[in-house]
Parts: sequence; C-alpha cells; structure tokens
Amino acid sequence: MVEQEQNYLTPEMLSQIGKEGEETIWPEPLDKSSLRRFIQATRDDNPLYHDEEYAKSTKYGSIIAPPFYFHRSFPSPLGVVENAEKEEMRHRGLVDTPGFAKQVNAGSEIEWFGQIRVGDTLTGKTVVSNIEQKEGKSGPMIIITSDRIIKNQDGKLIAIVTSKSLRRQAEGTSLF
Amino acid sequence: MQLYYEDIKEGSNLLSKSWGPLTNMDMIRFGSAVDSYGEIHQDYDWCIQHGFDNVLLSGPFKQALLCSWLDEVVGDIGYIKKIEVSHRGINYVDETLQATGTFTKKYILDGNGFVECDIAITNNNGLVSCPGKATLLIPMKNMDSIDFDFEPPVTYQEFITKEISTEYTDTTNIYLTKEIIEMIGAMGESYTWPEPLDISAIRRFTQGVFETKSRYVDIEFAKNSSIGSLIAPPAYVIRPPYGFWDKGMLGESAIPVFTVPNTTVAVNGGNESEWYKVVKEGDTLTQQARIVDIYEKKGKIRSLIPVVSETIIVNQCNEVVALSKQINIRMP
Repeated sequence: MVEQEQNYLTPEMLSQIGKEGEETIWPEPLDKSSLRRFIQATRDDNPLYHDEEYAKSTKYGSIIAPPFYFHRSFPSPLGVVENAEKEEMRHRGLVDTPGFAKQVNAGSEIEWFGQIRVGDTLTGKTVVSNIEQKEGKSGPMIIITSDRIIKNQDGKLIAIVTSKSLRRQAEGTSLF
Repeated sequence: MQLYYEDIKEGSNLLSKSWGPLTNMDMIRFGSAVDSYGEIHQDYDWCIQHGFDNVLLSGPFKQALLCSWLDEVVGDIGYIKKIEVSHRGINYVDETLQATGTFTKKYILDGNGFVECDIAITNNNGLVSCPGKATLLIPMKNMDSIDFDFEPPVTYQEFITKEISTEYTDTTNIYLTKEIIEMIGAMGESYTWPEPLDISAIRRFTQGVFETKSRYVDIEFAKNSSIGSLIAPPAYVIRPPYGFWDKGMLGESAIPVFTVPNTTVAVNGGNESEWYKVVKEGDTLTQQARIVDIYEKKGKIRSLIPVVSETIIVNQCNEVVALSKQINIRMP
C-alpha cells in the first residue's frame, strides 16, 4: 500500500494565489554611474552599454542597459538612510508559508519586450500565480510561482519574469 | 536648528553624535558608494587570516562620517571648509563610534565667520582613533546663505608645474635610498571621473554615510537654493570612483606605485582636505596627485616611513574644488 503524502498546503496558503505585491520603483532614472557599476560587476565589456559613439552607430542610437539590468535592486530613495536595502526586499516575501521558512531561488524564466535606456525609470510588480507542494529528496517542499511585470515610465512593458521560490521545512516565518 | 557664529563660544563642545554598532553591511554599502572593494574592509575570512580581529572600518569611511556629522553641526546654511584626520587606531565592524569636538577659535575673514575645532572619534572601548581638526564656515545672523567660492592657494597649472627640490644626503638610511628620495615630486597621471556626478552616485554616498542634509538629498530644496541643483557631500569629492576597463582603483591619491625598501606594510596615516567650491550634479571632476615628501620617523617599536602626497581636484572649468593631502605610512 502506498503511503499517502501529507498535505501541507493549508487553505490560508492557497488563498494567496493571485496576491499582488506593492509596486516598486527605481529610486531615480537610470544614470551612467549606476550602469557603470552594473557592467563592471558583471564583467560585461559590450560597447553598446558604455561607448556613446559606438552606440550611436547601432540601430539603438544610444547606450542601452544590458537586458538583465532590470534585475538591479530597488533600494530606498535619496534621503532614506535607515535600512537602505530593506526596500528591495519588499517584493520577495510576498507569500507566507509558516513551517516552510527556508527559502531559495529555484530559477526563473524571462521574456523581454523592450530596451532600457539611460533616463528610464522602471517599476516592478509581482503577482503570485501558483502554489504547489512537491516531494524532494530531503522532504516536502512548497513551490511558489510568481510573475513580475517590469514596465518603464511610459507604461511600456519591458519584461515579464516568471520565478519559482522553493520553500523547505523550517520554523519561523518566510516573510522578511 | 541653525547654529550662528555669534552664538559660538570658544571652549564649548560640539553636539556629539554616535553611529552603531556598525555592521559589515554598513562597510559594504560605503565600499559600493565609493567603488572601493578591498578585502580588508569587506572580507571577514581575509581579515582573520591576516591577523585582525574582524573586518576593519575604513579610514575614508570614518573621515566621511566625521564630515557628515560636521555638516549637521554647521546647519543648512554653513559649510565645512577644512578637515584634518589622523588615523591612530584600528576600528572594527561591530563597534559603536562617537564623534566629539570642541570649538577652539573663531574669527571673521572677508566677511565670513570661521570656527576652528578639535574633533575625534572614540569607540565603545574608549579608543580614540581619529583625532583631528576642522575649520567650519558658520553663518552670521544677518546671513540666509553663504556663497561657497574661495580662492585656492594654487591653480591646476601651478600645482603640476611646481618644482619640489630634494637632496639625497644620508647614504646609510636603509629606507630612504637615493631612488626613494628621487620619488619626491613624482607626479601621478591625471584622472577624470568616469561620468559627470549623477543622482545615483549622490544617493549611494549619502546612504553610505547616513547623510540626510537637504542640500544633498532633497531635489526640490536644492532646485530652490542659490546653487540650483543637488551638490556632492564634501567627503565624496576626495574619494574618486573606478574608471572604465583600462583604469584601476586609484584610491585617495593616484601617485606612482613604488615600494620603500625594507618595508612590508602600508597603512592609511591620515588625510587633510580643504574645499574651495561646491561640486554640483553634472560636474565632471579631474584630479592629479604628486608625492611631496617621504621621511623617516622613529616609532616606539619600529621606524615609520610616511609618504605624503597632495591631490588637486578640479571641475570641468578647471576650477579647483578641493586640495587633499594624504599620508600613507610604510613600515618594516
């Protein structure tokens, strides 16, 4: 006889499908020092991202940001100094899974619809699309799937990021 | 509340300020703001392997905290004119630092009220690590703004062409060899900041030193001020960011790289900076440094070889915005 898996998905957890996170916004329009830091950190020497003259000669007409740049954090705006990093965490802990507090990034799928340029201000908003339970080698896991919609200041869609957050059993809250 | 020149009494204390316990995250945030990622200020394992007790709080961080505190003391109208800081001890992550100071002298020059003070940073164990001095520009009661625009003692051209004479006399000194003495006067390459000063650079720096002064963080306030735009905190000006791919970290003073014979260690001995103009959003800075002195000082345990360099920082109009003197101590 096959032993039935215990179901950890409570109605409270499942009721969070469809939950929307707060919209987060970059603290200032993309400027060159932010772009420089990102491309230095990712060792990306594509001239399209830093050489004005080269960028002018391309179909883009000016410097653009690397596609993954939208994944930069959403730190607190100018003038906020206490816990300046807290702001960027806000969209992550959207779903509470009590008893499954140990969470890791299980991967994401990204589709791009437009470029990011110097002067753009991006916003991001996350919607929970699925919550499911799976059995892993180390025990039960809860997997949260969410879609993050990234738009620019004109409302143009820049990217949709579908991410999976994997939660393993641990005491405490998964919200932070 | 705005402090006025008339209300300052020589011998009275500045309102003190504390930060902490300062964390590894604070050090990483500051390192990111000034493009400085040395292991000694970021990597716990590296610090322990090299005989330290924890990650070290950096000298420029402590100096920037002092500047941020003095910027609060001078109020919305006043400015810091000059700061001198000696690094006399190590401060680690997890310590709480306190800035204290005493007004020592006040005087009026060309219609402006200047106040000198002794300052220091003391940690929660009583270690005084950053004694120094500062000169503040404090408004008088009839002033509602100060035009921060001062004549520098040298122009950029004079700075880079000034002759520095040296004489090699002591042929027995094992540190100050002929080659080392000939380094006095050596000029580093000029370095232009990789982009004009932008808002995210100001944000990173102000968040890195917990700075909330309106002229640095409030865009509306800055637009309506006599300057008309955000400006950089003074301490940011003396810490250049990385360039692009062909340039490395230049640190406080981009002097030619050299090794003093029979020395193995180099530490930040202190910095003295004086400002002449504000740096506005959109300004592009260029700087150049040269070695002005190398000498031997007998310490209690070993000899110290201070390498003194001066850096000139100019804006895109070739106007001097600051002069900075850096002491880097080499030791056996």
